[in-house]
Amino acid sequence: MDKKETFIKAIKDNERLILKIASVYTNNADDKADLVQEIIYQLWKSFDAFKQQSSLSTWLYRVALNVAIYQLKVSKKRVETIPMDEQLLNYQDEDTSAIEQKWEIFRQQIEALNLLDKAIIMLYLDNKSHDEIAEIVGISTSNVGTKMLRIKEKLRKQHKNN
Amino acid sequence: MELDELKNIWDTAHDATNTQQILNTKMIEKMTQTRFKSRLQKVVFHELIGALMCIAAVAYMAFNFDKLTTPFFQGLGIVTALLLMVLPIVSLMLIWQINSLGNVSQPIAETIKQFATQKLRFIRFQQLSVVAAYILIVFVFLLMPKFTGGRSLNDNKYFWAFAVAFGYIFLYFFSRMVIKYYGNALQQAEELLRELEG
Repeated sequence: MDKKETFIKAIKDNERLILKIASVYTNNADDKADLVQEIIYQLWKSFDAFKQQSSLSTWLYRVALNVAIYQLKVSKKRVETIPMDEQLLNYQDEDTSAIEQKWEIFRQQIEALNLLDKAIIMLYLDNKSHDEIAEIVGISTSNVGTKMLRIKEKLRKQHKNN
Repeated sequence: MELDELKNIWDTAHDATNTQQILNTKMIEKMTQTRFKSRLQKVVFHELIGALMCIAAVAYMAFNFDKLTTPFFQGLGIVTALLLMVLPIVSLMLIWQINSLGNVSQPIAETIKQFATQKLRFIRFQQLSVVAAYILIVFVFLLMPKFTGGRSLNDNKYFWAFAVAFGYIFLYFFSRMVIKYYGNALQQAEELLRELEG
């Protein structure tokens, strides 16, 4: 299998991860499609740099989250983007309006968290262990535990205030 | 919302996306070849316009430097020109720094730290620029009559009243806007850095 085939397989195997990150870090379908595209572009560009020192999923998470954070920095300065496939823009529209509504509530809840907490909670929800979260985020495992407690508290307070 | 509820929604979305393959080979290949167009064009364009105006002012001063006859005015002209050149260049450099992607494979905490540091630097520079603008406006008032045929400001008794009032009222509102605009962002960036370093 050549490099491109390996890459395409890796993306297909992890597309759910990329789409979820894009959904969490953007507000609308256009931005989401752009973010997915940018993540895949950056993953391809840095694919050679991936030396399997960490797992493929750890590397994918790191790149995807870094690109999402970058996009967030410049998101208010958008001008135009190239058109994307309709399928990607509307992939959740097929009889999933209830899920979409719930997803919107979910997004609003974690929107109030800062960039670091948002990344941690996402990894936690994706069943990553504290060790894996620590590796992806770049903080100690004990710090992940402390932050998780604080995030839970923040969410609870937010819920009460609402 | 409790964490369990969030987890429930997350898993539901997971199941929904798992039922269909969204990214096909052709799409992925296309995405590896094309990056979406730069979103920075607009903001860089505005900054460039500002920088060009400053450079035009500096060029005008350079061509008319002989009109600054005394060492005091020559010194003032040089300081003004330096401020007009340095401020937009530093601003453009900071914007470029904020918008450069950096190492995408590094840990996220590192990226967030860089992001917060760059943001703080940019906000502090913008606040400094407002102070510099107050100084610049005084310098411009002093230099203006030299460049306009050497007529003294005293020739027009209304000049100071209008120019100073207009200039400072504008700057007053502009600086308030800058402080308000960046106030929250500054606080957030500082909090994020404290959390990362703590």
